[in-house]
Amino acid sequence: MNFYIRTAWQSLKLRPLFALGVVTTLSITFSILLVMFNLHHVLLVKALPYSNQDSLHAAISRVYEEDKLKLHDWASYPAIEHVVKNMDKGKVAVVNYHEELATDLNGFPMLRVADTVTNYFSMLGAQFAIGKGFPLDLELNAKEPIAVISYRAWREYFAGDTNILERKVTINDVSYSIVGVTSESFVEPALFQVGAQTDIWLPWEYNTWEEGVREGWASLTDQIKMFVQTEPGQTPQQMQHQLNTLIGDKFKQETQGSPHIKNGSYSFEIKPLKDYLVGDSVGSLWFFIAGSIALAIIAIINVSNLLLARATEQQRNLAIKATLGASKKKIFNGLFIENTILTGVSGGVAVIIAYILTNEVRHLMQGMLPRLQELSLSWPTILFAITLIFSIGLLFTLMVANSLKYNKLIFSLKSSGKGSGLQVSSRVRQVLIASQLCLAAPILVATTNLAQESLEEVMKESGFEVENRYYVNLNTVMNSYPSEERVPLINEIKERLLQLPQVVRVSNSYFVPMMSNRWQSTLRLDDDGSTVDTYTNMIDEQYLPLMGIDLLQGNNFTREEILTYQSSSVIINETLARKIAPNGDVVGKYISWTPGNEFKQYLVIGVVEDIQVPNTPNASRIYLSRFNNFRFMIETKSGTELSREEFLDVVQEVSSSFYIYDYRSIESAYDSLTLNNKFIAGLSLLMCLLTIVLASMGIYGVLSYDVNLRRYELGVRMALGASPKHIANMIFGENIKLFVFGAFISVAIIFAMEYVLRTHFSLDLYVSPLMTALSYVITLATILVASSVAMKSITSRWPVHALK
Amino acid sequence: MKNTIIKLEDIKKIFSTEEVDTYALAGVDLEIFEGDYVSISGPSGCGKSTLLSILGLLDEPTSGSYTLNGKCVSKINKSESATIRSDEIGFIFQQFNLIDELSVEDNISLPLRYSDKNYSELEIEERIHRCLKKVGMEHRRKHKPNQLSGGQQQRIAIARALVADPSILLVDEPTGNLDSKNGDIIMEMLSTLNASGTTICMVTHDPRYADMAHKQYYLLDGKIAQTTKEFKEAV
Repeated sequence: MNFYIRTAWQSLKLRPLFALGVVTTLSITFSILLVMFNLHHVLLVKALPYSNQDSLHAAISRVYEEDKLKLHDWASYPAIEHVVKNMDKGKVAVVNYHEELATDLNGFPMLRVADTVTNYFSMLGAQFAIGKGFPLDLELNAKEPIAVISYRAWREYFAGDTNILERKVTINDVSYSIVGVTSESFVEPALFQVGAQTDIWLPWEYNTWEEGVREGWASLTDQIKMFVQTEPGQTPQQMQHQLNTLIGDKFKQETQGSPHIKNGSYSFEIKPLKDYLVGDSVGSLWFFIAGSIALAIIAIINVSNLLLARATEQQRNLAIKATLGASKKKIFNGLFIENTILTGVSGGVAVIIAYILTNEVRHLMQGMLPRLQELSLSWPTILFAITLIFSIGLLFTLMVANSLKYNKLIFSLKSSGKGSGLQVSSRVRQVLIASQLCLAAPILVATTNLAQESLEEVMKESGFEVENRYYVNLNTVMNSYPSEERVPLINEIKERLLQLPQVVRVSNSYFVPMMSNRWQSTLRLDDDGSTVDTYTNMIDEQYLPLMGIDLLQGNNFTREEILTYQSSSVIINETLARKIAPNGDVVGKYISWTPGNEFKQYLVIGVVEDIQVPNTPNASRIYLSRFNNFRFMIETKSGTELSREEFLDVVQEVSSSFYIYDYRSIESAYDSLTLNNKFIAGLSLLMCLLTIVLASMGIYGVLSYDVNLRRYELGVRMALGASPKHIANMIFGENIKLFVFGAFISVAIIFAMEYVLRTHFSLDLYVSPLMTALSYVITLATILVASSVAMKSITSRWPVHALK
Repeated sequence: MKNTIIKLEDIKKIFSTEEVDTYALAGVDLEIFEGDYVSISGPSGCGKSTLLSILGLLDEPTSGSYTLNGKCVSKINKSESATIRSDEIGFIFQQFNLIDELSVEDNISLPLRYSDKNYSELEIEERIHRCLKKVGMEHRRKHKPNQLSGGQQQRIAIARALVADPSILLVDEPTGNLDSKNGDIIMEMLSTLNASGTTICMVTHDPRYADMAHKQYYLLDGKIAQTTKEFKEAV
């Protein structure tokens, strides 16, 4: 065996470019395949890291109005509390997610907080590095100021202090005693946001929801999540029935006559926790898995072609070996060892690349894909890589052995080699090229379209300005002060900010445009009494000019309206204006809006242009006057900045009890909304590029091999009078026929792919004619260039060279 | 007086490497007249194939003058040489060189299709028929080359060489891949063609077949040393 390994290695060393070509092609595509296999395994196959994962289910709230689904996965606070109080305590856990400042830690870090119940930890089988979870007798509404912190938070904010159980952490003026640190291996289920990791768990009752939400059955939030544990023998359907029996009538009764919901009903959908966590975010993963498989097939075809070319070259040596007594098995073994060395080295390199890529994916795709915390190169992936190496090695050997035909090997020694040696049939070569096209064209179409879609979202005109603009939210404790106390403080902060040389405008408003989808409310149109769901923002007179939102009709709020806090005026956007009056002429009309339980009339004083929030459809919007919480938008002069420290200095001059809860540049906040699109666009273009490179290499390889094999035949034709033009016409003609054939099949594949995605995965693959045409032009150009280059090597010389 | 078909004057072909220049042809003078039957023989490596390649415009000489039908062709480009090959030169190879995927009639038609003369399909059909008849293979016109024996393939190759009515047939070891019976048939056929006026220049190392030519040249170290007759007399 050593002899065979040594000779195979020496043989490969003599052909470094061939070996490099094979290893590069296979290792790049194998590594992508391994990353995708690994992602697929960790996200979709691997069990959740909870011993009782099969019995854990997400209880998803579904709210209906007039029997029509109004909101999915938005919960009613009292409804959830009602269920928790009436269910077996150990079988249900509820969590409310938010972010808060820890005001007694260095730098006032923003912590991700989860308010939860005592059995949250026991249901997940959580282990603790230090201390324990909440006490078992902690009641739902008990106010016991205790906290559990995550291992990561312990290391980052408490420097891994071993006396952590003696320390406290202050949030919203409440000092919590730390009772436990979760173990390093504990992975929480990211129920609210993909990839979000909780820093601190507080008892449920310490959530910051105001009375209106705590008691408003029709007030809904997406921040509260619930999961349940089925008992042995209990089916998820039985659990669902149990929950719905508890909430169904109660919700109807409590929301009767509510202005927010007509004939409302509430139910729970029970879904395995794993499926819930994975959610819809893996749609693009399937696409990339399919793409990586197709790329791997292209690579295998390319390498097959290289190996066939090499088999032609090896034929004489193999014939000598056969003549000297090498059996069919020994010839096969020699080839298998050589191919396994190639695939083995490729596999090894691929595993290393996959390891690096997997770590990168974990960082780069944080927040885009679920379960990334659990992502590492898994053993099944390594086993898959080993299986792949040997399978592909065997496949290559079988293919080469099949083309060599042992019985004919000996006779091949007698041949002069002029067109009578090993040749792969033209049909095989045609299949190789057509299959390259069939695989490459759909990938190119899909990736270019995906990239185009993502880039369109990135390039979309927002309708507002983001440069030199900042958004600041001060700590929420001050927001609970009476309005009369807050307004002078807000005005003073505004005045002081305007005194800074770089500040142009300051606005005290609720949401920056791209966050303004957070507050949905209902309008009643006075003309016909119909209602419209609309996104709501509260602004001052500076907001529209500061954000660069154009006023299309009517007027902005006046300074007096804002100062006196007495306004019954409203500004609406163009989309809403057209809903009210098709011609959009609505200034002077009245609409009714309800901030609470009763509708109140508002006069429309202006219409502004629509704003576009990335990845969300256009919507109706209303802008009400005067917001008096501590949120500010600041515009600075071009080329200047306003730092967090500068801002903090200003507000602390007004009151030393102010902290900055959130401070960011609006430009970076806007950019972060399109990060996912940019990533997908980048990944798509990379895949597109890789496809072009691989397919071009493959097509060039097959064509040049084909032309080379036909060298003698072309020489004969030239000897009979065929000019270079005749030869070119013949080769181009044959290859264009092949292209047309492959293009037809690939178009059929694209339509089939589009149909399957639409009908089975509810995904729309928009096939852009321009991008599709471009994909085919690229492929055709590759074919023509490859044919031309390969042919040139024969026709540029005298026929005698081809006839040798 | 017979017309001169081919006239070579001091034709040299040098294959150069970084270290050495090898003279495949070291100054060949040769004249072939209309209706001649010329054989060129010599030991392996003497330059027979190189000479035939230059005569057939498959390669260019390094120096010297080559006149074909009164036209100097020693420095023409590849496209011009292709036109001349399709119209004025017929090739017969040792390995027959029929194209496997084409039928017998399509193989024969190739020189006509590559010609600039734009032959009509009717004329092509007529010429194929005439040539197949000449070689006695009319009944095989729809066959593929691999359905024929070696002798039959060479007869088809002869038909192909004749189809454009070339000025000269260049024949390279026509019997090299045939048994003696088929070899004799092919040589008989060439003699008949010459008798009917076809000019033939044949490369062979078989003295029996070389003797069938009217003029026999002996090539040694890239030069025509003497006629074979003179060589034999010398020996």
